[in-house]
Amino acid sequence: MLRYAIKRILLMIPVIIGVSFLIYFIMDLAPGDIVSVTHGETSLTEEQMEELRASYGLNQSVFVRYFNYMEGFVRGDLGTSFITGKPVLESFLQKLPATIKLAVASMFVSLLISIPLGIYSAVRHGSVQDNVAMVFALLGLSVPHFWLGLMLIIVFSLHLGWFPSGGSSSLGGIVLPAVTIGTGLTATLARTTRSSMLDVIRQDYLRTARAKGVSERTVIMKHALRNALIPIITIAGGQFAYTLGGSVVTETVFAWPGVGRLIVDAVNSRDTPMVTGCIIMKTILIGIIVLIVDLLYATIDPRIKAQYARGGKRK
Amino acid sequence: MTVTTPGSASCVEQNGQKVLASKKYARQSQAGAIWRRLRKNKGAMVGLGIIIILAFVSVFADLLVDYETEVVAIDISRKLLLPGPEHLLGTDDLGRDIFNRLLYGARFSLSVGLMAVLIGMVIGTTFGAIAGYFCGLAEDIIMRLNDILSAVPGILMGIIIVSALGPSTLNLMLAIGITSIPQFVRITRASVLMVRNQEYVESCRAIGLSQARIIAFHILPNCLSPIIVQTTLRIASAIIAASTLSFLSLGVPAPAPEWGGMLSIGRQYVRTFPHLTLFPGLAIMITVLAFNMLGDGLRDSLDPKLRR
Repeated sequence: MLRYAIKRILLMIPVIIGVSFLIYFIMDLAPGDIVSVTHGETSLTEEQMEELRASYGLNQSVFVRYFNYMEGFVRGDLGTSFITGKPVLESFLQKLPATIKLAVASMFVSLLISIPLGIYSAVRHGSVQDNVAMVFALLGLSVPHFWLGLMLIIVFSLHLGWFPSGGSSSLGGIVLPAVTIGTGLTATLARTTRSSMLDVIRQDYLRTARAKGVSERTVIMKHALRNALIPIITIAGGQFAYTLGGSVVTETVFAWPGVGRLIVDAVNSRDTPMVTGCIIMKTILIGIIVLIVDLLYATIDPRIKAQYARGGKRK
Repeated sequence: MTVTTPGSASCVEQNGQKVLASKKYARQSQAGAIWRRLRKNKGAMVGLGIIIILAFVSVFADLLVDYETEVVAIDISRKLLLPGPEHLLGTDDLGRDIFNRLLYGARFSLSVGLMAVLIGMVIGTTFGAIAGYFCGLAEDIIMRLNDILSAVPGILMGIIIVSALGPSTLNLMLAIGITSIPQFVRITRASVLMVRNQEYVESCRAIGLSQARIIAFHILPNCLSPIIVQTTLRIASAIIAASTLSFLSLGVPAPAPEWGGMLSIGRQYVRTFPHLTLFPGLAIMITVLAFNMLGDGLRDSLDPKLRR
């Protein structure tokens, strides 16, 4: 299993190189650069602007700059922000806890709703309740996050005054953004739980368990759910990784001081080292989470553990 | 009665009912069977109905409302009116009728969603088919590039691409199209892998058909189901992505009545005039829901085995 994990980590290297090059290159394509963004309105002469560009290293070709950047990356240096002058890694790590906190809270909301909903739907397959639950799930999938966020602010913050409309200073501040992101995640997860449970629920060993007199509750919660967990964990793991990487808009709507907003601000100010560095860190983070999820399978399903032991090959 | 040769008149007469039944079955084309199954799915039919209405509104938007006078014309004297008989859904901060703008905005949302997914589908399907059919080095290269493209979350990639190319409707389509490539590559490759070793493909090779022809005319048509389903569902997420980018001022430039852009304006009045935010959001949600319902129904009717 350790060999498998190491192999997976090594496979991340080409992806990181590719992603960093792609982002660095696209950022270079963008019209304007850091000098025109920060000094565009000032009365600097063309020569002074050129001098400033040279001080940022912008007079070199994009390939040379990228190579220099990656040379630093290998030594553990993600570059320095053009805007704040602070090391990128430091800024990233400073914003990361807020993003992780939001991701964990969103996953909590999602798991709390989706798994009971999915199980209930599967057990009552074809009933009115099942249909209502699935329409609800589909609605969750169809609502734009930023709009749901605004609606929650109108109802729960402006009218009822239960939660603050933004910021992370108080404990209640996390509720609305977590519900916003969680709703979207719930939709997919509830549908996965339902279909995975339906696969399991009619199998013979469950009938045997029932025949032995095991209570229906134990049959569903212990015998069925455990065997239905693999797809659920795959989706939930992917969602957690996605939330760490993609809650850009929700962070913007709720003024949540996370990594998503850091990147959007950096994109707007053409802060190439900040954008590239943050995305490299995100790629690594997402890769590690997906790997952990894969390794989690082994603890849940002994059959997969045996597969890893054979060198990760399928039968 | 005594004649038993298949196909003879008496055979038909003898087993009349059976033969007729099988003839009826043979006449039922695959598309017909899919349509019959789809028609039974109420959700899919509702979705299809909404999409047809939206498509109609988009195509004939110019006949329904006048763009210059009823959609973008500013009239401060009527600004921020609440929904009422004169303005069904009220007016926005510049006195423009929200209902008219929503009506015209359907054109932007639908066309951006459709075009973006078309871009993603054409590129993704081509590379996915190549990866699945040729295997080996081509597959390795395509799949690794695909890993790279899918490593960055879609909306973030969209933001970076649009801010690099500049906000415009075309760039919005391109950005969302590029971010939807990886899904298509993966799905097409997986289905091509299932088909490529079947005997009929072997016989295509044996009679000397070119590889491009085999892929385009013999393999891809047999991989269409998952691609069609994916396309429908991707249009739904593309519409959300487009409105999200417009909401961040990275989409269709003002004063065009794009739904996400309308939400962005409404956001400033969220405390005082929530109707500015409510209606465009509902419009996006209903449209996306329609595509999701149709996509779900298509998945069930294209592959009855998967039916739940």
